[in-house]
Amino acid sequence: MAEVLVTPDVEAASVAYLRAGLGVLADKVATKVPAAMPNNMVRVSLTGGSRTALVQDAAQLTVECWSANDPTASMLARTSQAYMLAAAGVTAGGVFVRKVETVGGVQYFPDPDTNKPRYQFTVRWHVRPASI
Amino acid sequence: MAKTKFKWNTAGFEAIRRSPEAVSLLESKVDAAASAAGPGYVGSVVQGVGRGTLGRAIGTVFTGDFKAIRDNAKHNTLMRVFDRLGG
Repeated sequence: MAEVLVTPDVEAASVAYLRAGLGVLADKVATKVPAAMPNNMVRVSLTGGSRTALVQDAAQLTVECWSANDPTASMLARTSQAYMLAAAGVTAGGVFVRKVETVGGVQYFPDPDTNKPRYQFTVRWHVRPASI
Repeated sequence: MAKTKFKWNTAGFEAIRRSPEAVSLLESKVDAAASAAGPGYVGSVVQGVGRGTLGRAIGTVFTGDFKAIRDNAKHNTLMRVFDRLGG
């Protein structure tokens, strides 16, 4: 049997990384939106990706940012994007990110459930799976 | 030592871009992505107009009804099937 290589938990890593980077800009950074959504909310979701090589995984992360008004939501998304792109070559949330690719830039993507302004973007973090 | 000359066969590229095999491959990927996205999502393949890469077949998956639009807004469904369109 070939060596078993497990991709690191990039959702948890990116949440911890963004939480530390955004600080007070975001009331909550998580993978789930609570029933009572805070004013400035950032949600990170693993929306796909692929094992590009035996020891490289391109994890696709979509980051949604809600806020009370359009400019604040946009600023939150653009700042989050800056942090996600800056993760290239550093250890972010305990995971070393080898390379970052943009899949989709920051876009206005209204939320039908909350009617709050939402901006989102998608990146790929290239990370190294580890043997177990 | 003899010099090796290399020349791109641009007509060959053009033929491949427009070949039924290439279109068929694209259709299968688009159909798979639309099916994975669920009901209301539609796949389409059209031949581009013009020479060069403009003339290649273009595959698209999109929301075909209001229910799918709402589903995509809630769950980012199209982003989740994005990889199925890859090579």
